[in-house]
Amino acid sequence: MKRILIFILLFISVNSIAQKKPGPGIRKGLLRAEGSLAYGSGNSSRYYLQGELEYLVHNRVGINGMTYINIGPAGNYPNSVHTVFSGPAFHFPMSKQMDVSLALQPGLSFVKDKGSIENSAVSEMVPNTSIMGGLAYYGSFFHLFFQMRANSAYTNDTAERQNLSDLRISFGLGWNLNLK
Amino acid sequence: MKLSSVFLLMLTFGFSNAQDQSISVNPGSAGIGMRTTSSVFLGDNAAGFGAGGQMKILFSNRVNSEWFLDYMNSSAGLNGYRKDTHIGWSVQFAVNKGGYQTRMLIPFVEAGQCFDWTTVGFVKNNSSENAMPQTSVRNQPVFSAATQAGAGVAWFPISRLELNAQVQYMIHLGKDVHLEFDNDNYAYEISQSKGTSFDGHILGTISISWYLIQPQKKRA
Repeated sequence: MKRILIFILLFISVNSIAQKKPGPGIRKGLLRAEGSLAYGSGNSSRYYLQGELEYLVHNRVGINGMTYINIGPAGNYPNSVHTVFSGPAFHFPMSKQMDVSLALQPGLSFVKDKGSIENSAVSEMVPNTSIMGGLAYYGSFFHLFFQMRANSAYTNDTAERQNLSDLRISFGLGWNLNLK
Repeated sequence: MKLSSVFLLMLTFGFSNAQDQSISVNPGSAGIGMRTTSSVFLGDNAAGFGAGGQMKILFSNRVNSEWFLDYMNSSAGLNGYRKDTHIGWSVQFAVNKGGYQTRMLIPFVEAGQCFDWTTVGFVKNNSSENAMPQTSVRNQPVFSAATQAGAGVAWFPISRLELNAQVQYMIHLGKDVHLEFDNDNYAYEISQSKGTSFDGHILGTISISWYLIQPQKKRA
């Protein structure tokens, strides 16, 4: 019974927020979150588990944070390259529901590999610089998105300097909620 | 660099419709943001870039301040590297008459100080036939103070949002640490000495800040 009450209360509160400013689309007060898989194409291809959270502080500007957890493949050197990016994202709505976004974001990569006979061990924090572009189609609570991120980074503390730069591509379904 | 230019151009056109006519920022405004910095060391044969963030406090119509943290990773020679962590501040003085209360580009000169933790290292170039892992040599982080000065431009496409590009020259005071290179540009030794070295580095920074605190201007 308690659970049902909580659910009803949550539903009413979410619905009341939505009713104040009806209709989907990018605007001030929007909170959006995404989780998907990303593919990184570079010197060595990598797969990432990608998470994103953004809050719009202006109709066209959001404070954005993204995480990429490296989940494979196993044979790459360095084996593990996890990255976080943060910074403002800029939105250019094409219609009420379609949005193009751009972001110039610095980031940090946490690079680790135990090494092997051929390769040296590495445990290094590496700065990144990146440009991200996105396209999204918004509904009331969900949006479809496609993103590309050109990322530049390299690690020095290895026998041969490793270029970690790549182009990361992701798409999927995200969640959005108007808080104002 | 090309990508950054395209990005800035798109921002310019994208925000041209979104401009409100209110004044950019008032004295007392404070904001936070992110930055990308490129670095070229003149005396250490090193070049690279870093990521960081900054806090901004506008003291008066023409005087802004930037409180920053940068983490930089530079390649040095064929087998060396240098990592710098900078924590510091710069005071930015707007050269134009209207100061920061304009929608136009705001040219500024700046000067400041910072603290620096530096690690240099290299990978020994072992040419043994058994292909054992290469040996990595690095120093403990060296703490020093530094001073910097430069110039740049700021632009507020919308109220609260500042885009900023700047170039600075930084000189390290106190302990100096650098790599020694052979004729083939391979690092073979870490050298450490006390005293000021005028072989500093050139820093180029692109930053974006959002002013969270923006006091209303008192009416006369």
